Amino acid sequence: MNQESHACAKQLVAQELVEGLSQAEHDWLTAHMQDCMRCAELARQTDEALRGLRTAAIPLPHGLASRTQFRVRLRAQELREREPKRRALWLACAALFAAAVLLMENSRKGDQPDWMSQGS
Amino acid sequence: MGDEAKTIARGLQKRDPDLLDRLIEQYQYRLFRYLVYVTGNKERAEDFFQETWIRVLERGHQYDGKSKFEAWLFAIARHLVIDWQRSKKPQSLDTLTDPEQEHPLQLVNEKEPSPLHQVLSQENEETVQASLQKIPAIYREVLVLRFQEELQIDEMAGVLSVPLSTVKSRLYRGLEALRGALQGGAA
Repeated sequence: MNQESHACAKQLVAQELVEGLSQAEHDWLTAHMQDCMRCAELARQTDEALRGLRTAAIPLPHGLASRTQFRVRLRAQELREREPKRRALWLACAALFAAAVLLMENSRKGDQPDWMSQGS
Repeated sequence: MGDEAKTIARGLQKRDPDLLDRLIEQYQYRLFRYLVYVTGNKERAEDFFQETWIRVLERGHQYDGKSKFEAWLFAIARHLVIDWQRSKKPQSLDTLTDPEQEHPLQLVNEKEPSPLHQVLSQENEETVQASLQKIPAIYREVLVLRFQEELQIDEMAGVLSVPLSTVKSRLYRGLEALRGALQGGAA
C-alpha cells in the first residue's frame, strides 16, 4: 500500500459524503479500509464528527418563538394599516398622471397649425 | 415541490398570521441553530432570528413554493447576516463569500472565548463540538446545511447564491477542516 492509495481513500471518504460513490469506487474503498487501519480510523472519525454535528444540542432561548410571533403580528398590523393609504396614494398618482396626459394632449392639439387640423 | 410548500406560498402571499405563527414554531429550532453556527453568537442569533421572520412577513410574496421553504428561510437569514456584516465592516460581497478568503463570514473575534463554544459546551462537551468552533464559519455553515439540515447540494447552492461546484469545494474543505480540527483537538 502506497501513499497514493491512502490519498485516494481519503478523497473517496469525503466524496462519499458529498457526492456519493460509484459501485466500483465503493468496493475499492471497502477493500482498502479492510487492510488499512489508518484510513478506516479516518472514516470512523469523520462519521463520528458528523454524528456529533447532527446531534449537537443548542438550547433555545426561553420564549423566543412567542416574542417573535408577537413582533411579527405587530409588524403585520402595521403593514395592513399602511395598505389603504398606499393604495390611495397610488390611485391619486394614477389620476394625476392621466390628467397630465390629457392636458398635454389637449394643449398639443390646440397648438397645431391650421393646415394640420384641416388635413386630418 | 409538495403541496406543503405551495400552501406556505399561498399563506405568505396573504400574510396569514396563523400560518406565520405555525412556521415560527415549526422552524424555530432549525433556524436558531443555523444562526448560532453562522454568527457564532447566541444573542446575535436571537436578533437575527426575529429579523428573519419579519423579513419573511414582508417578502413572503417572493416565495413561490417551488423550492423547500427551509432553503428560502435560510437564504433570508443568511442575507441578513451578510448585510449586517457588510455594514459593520465595509467589504465586497465577494470577500464575504469567496472560499479562498481567510475566515470569511467569521463574525467572532478569535482572541476572545468563542460564544459558540460557550453555547455548545453548555450542552455537550465532546471533542467534536469543541472542534466545530475552530472551523472558519464559511465551512461550518456548509457542514451544518448539508449534514444537520440535510439540504441537497442544489438547495445549498440556492441558499448560498453560489454555483454547485463552489458548494462541493466548500464541503470538501469543510470536511478537511473538521478532520484537522479533530486531530488538533486529540493531539
